[in-house]
Amino acid sequence: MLEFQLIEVGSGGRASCARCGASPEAATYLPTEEVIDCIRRAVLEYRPPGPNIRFGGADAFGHPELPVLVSAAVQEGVVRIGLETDGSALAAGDNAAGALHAGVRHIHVSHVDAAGALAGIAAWTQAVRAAGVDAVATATVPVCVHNVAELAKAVAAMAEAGVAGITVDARSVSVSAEVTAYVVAACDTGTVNSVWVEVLGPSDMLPESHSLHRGETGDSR
Amino acid sequence: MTHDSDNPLRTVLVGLNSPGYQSLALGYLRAYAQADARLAGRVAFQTLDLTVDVDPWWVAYRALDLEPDVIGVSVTCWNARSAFEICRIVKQARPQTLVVMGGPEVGPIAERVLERHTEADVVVRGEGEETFSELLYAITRGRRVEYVDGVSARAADGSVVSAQERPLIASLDSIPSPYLTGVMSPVDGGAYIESYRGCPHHCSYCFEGKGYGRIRRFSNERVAEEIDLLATTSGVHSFSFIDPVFNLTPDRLEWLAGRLAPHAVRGTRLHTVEVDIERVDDAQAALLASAGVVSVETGPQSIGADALATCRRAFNPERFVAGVEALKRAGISVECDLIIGLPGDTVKDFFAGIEFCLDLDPGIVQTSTLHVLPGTDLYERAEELGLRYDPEPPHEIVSTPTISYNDLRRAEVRAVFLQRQYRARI
Repeated sequence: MLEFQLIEVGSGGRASCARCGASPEAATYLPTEEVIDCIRRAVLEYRPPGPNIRFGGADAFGHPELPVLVSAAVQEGVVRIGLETDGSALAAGDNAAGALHAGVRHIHVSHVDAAGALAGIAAWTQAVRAAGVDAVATATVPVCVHNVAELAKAVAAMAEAGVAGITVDARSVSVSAEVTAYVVAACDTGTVNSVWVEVLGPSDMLPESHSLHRGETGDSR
Repeated sequence: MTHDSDNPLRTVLVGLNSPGYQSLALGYLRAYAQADARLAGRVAFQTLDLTVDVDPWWVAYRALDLEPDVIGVSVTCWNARSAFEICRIVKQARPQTLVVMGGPEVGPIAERVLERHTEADVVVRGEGEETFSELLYAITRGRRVEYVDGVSARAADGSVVSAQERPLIASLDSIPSPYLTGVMSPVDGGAYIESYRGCPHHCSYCFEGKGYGRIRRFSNERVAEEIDLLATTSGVHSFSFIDPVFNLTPDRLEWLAGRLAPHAVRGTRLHTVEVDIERVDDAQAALLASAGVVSVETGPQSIGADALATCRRAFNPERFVAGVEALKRAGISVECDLIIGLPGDTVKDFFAGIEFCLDLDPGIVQTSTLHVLPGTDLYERAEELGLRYDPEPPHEIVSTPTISYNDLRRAEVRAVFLQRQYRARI
């Protein structure tokens, strides 16, 4: 509903489930000028409200000139700036406070390494409280057969850390009664903790009673 | 009750407000009663203008410390639970204190309140100023309170009885200004002016249009004096108007802007005035800006055709959009309000409303859950419309024929998430 234009700062380097066997490629980052050109295009093409952008493609904190990119976005008139991260870099040093100070208001954490993700969300939440500004953390949980049983627990932990919304990306798991039960539990855990949980996956992943949680991308398989 | 006429009737007024605000209602009650020559020297007032988050036992402590003969509590759906608890404690600790309740939460259902809350002795129905003064006069004269027009009360035999209705006050200027009389000292950001009572709209969920009936205005002279006082009070940089529609008529808006503009030039600001946005064009927006208005609050509450029809609300999307755009051009922030759980609305309708508002990029998008308030059209038609709501205040909607309880809760969580995302900007 609130659209963010993805501005790729690079590619690769994203962690995935170690037990699934995939090993991440090393991250590579795009030249600063190339990224700034993308920001300018996004500002010209945005649809209200905005313009809103999210630096991603690779962990945004890995880009050697991230402060320059954020500053350029502010200069270009972007009103909502988001960063994608696995969370660990966000928790390091003063990164959370620094990002906020520079103008970042949206952090999107990929919940693969739970410890890193939770540390990053908690650091962000603390920095936001200290700064007294409006800013949010969201997260994506890529679901696989190895973590599906722990989904509700992950949602509860992220809620406690201060996340506002979670996308459960269940596009790579097969629908079964068991998987559906876990995903439903994750949705309900979010609701009772005032965290919105959206589910990406086939439409029959969720029963009709939980159809509101179906992601806007719908049946994307 | 009997009162020792040698001593003034100790009357304590209790307001439980949102943090930062004062109770204008109590200010009116006290200003009106203090101007009643029959009560001069016979009644002594103390006002405890507190916030709703204060522990009820502590409020009772402060009230009892004043050894009240009468305690008057202003009850809204937001403070009702605390208000009832305070009265319950006061009545237990000091049974001889007459407990008087008034306000929109209790007035429309006065008899039911008295039946359910044995701590309440009297409920003032409707507009309270004249009735409360007459009640105090009756007490000082040793007369039976249940015969005072506009009250419901417990009779000597314990039965609940209601005296006849009291007509609305014909001339609002007969109510002295709480500010001009010094009953209330304006606080920065928390002071409100009321320039009229009533509402041109009659939305089914709202008490405003139904409770006060036709529109009655305070005189321009009175409003001008209040504006000048608030705007020149040391430390008051902003205040607001409690009027349901600030741009009630073009003439009225022009007059108000003319009175407010000299103060706006010196830095006084008006925050969150409610406007009928479909009447706002560039000329009205310019008037609002010249008056120092920095933010306005408006609907649409819903964009669903069924809900709008059921709630008797008009909505013209083109004019609504034009109004928001005009205000944005004038540099005024717009708060667009939406209600979850209106009869006829589906969850899809509600989120279509959020999307409509977000696309306008108004400044603030605020959602709230429907409260089925006593005295409103929805309260009376709840059964017919299939509305299930909490009978206890604040009477939040539980389910409707088109939205289940669980989906209401899910919609609330998602709506809050979207609002947080929207607010998070540089």
